[in-house]
Amino acid sequence: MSVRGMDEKEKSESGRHTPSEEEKRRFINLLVESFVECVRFGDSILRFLELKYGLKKNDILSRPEYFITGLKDLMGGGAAVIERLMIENLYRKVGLECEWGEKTFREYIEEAFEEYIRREENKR
Amino acid sequence: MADDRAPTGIYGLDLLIDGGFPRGSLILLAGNPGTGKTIFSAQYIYRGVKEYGEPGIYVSLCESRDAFYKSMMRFGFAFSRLEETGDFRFLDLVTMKGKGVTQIIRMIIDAVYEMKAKRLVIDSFSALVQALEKPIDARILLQTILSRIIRTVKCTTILVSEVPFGSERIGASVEEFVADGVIILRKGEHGEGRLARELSITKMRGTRLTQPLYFFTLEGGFRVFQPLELQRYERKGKFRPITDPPGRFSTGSNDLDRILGGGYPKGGIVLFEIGENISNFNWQLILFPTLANFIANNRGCLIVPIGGSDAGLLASKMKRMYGFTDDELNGLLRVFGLSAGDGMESPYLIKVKGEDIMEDYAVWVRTIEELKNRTGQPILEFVSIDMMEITYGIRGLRRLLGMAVARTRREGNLTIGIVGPGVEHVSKRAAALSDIHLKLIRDHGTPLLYGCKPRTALYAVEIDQASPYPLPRLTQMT
Repeated sequence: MSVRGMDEKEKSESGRHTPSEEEKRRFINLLVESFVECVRFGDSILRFLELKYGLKKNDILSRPEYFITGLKDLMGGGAAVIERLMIENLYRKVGLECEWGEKTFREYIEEAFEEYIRREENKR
Repeated sequence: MADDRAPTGIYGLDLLIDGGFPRGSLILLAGNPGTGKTIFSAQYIYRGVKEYGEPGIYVSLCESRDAFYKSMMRFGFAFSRLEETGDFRFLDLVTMKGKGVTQIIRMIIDAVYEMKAKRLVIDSFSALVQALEKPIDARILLQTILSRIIRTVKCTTILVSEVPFGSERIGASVEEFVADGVIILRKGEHGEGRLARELSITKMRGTRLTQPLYFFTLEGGFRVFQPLELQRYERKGKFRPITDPPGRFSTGSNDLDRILGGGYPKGGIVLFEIGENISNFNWQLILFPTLANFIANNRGCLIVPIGGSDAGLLASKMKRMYGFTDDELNGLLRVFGLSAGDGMESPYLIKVKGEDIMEDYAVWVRTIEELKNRTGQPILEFVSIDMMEITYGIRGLRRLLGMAVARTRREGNLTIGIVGPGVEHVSKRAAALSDIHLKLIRDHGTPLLYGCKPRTALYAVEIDQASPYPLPRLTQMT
């Protein structure tokens, strides 16, 4: 599975609603919030990742592996805990129950994003 | 210079910590108000930029840019000019404290990246901690933000920590565990209640620390005194005589002359007390220039060590240290020695028996007269008081001192009595007779000189490296 925000063509072919730029932007804000709320001085960490690895906030959605690599580089073993807390926080925000399994960070984010888009569609 | 070390820019410190701070380390600099933390930090940044080409940032949460620049000019640190080069930035965050730590940290991170800074000072971390919501945030800020980021970009950072008077704790107590190095500045009492600045290195990752405490001065910048044993001299010229000021004999050292208001008084008695762990070179560095100045001014010198003396060794030191010739010493130097000694003959060795005090004193007086007749000038008498007590006993010593003091005053000579440690009853007696009473002690590996009579400040003793022959460099400790 790939992240909808990454590959517009694939998403269109799936027959579902293609997320608008505004929806993506709002979801990225949710991602950032999820991170900042679960770690003290999260803003500073994001700024550091941006300066050191060139990781922008929207890269958390489009290149989640890079985000995790940067986080691990900075936080060492603590990155895994932050990753988990961030996913739990994000699932709460989109109204999903988080069940831990074999999924990767990218897959959890994709699942949350799909749920977020689905709920946005239902609102209409 | 090892690449894994960042030279501190603090005079004398790098030699004591394997060449500098470990590169990319977090150094905690703690101390009471007024102990020199800001000067240390400013010098670290200023010399780091100027002399090692390492861009630096000074983050101030306590002092405004104008106040900081102005006060640092006193030490010759022209920060405003440094800022124009683009290799230095002053982040004046005094007014930012209310806006939150997150903003402050972000500004610091941005500046470090933008400038590719290799040096950073946060003055003070204590002020930053005050702006935090919870005490635990101090640990998080240090462990997860500052220390990790700093290590990643190899920006060697000093965190200044303010320690209130009377407090035993350093900041929030988290800093000292997280930091790679901890340096504490304080003032301690030495030399009968005189204050001296002390630097304590309690932690320095990957560094061999030979001793925990050193003295330092702020005169001419932040400078740590090295143990005298680590200092070397190489004689590059012959001793040049110093002219006596009116009514005084120059000590042969401009620094000591200044402390004593021009030198020793003519016809004066000087007691020089030597504390424990003082090496021969330590006290000779202070006293031998007086001997050298007398000889260089064509004046006679009599040394009365009696037992344990080695006239040959003493003469060879005067030659080696100050460049005197055999002829000069043969004509002007006289050293008393026991006739039962090594039997060595030399023109300056005067043998006495050490049995009858009056008999030996007669030789003493004759020798002085001989030197005076030869030069027509006053004489310097160097007397080892404790050795005389051993030779003649306390009663004999008292008698001898009484006679010698009266003669010195009458004839306008100079007598310097030397007393070693452990003979307080002798030094008390001698102190009562003296016009000047100096003490040389040693703490933290540094010899310290001070005057009891007249009372003076405390001075660190070093070898004056600017002099072509060994002279003491005396630096006031406060």
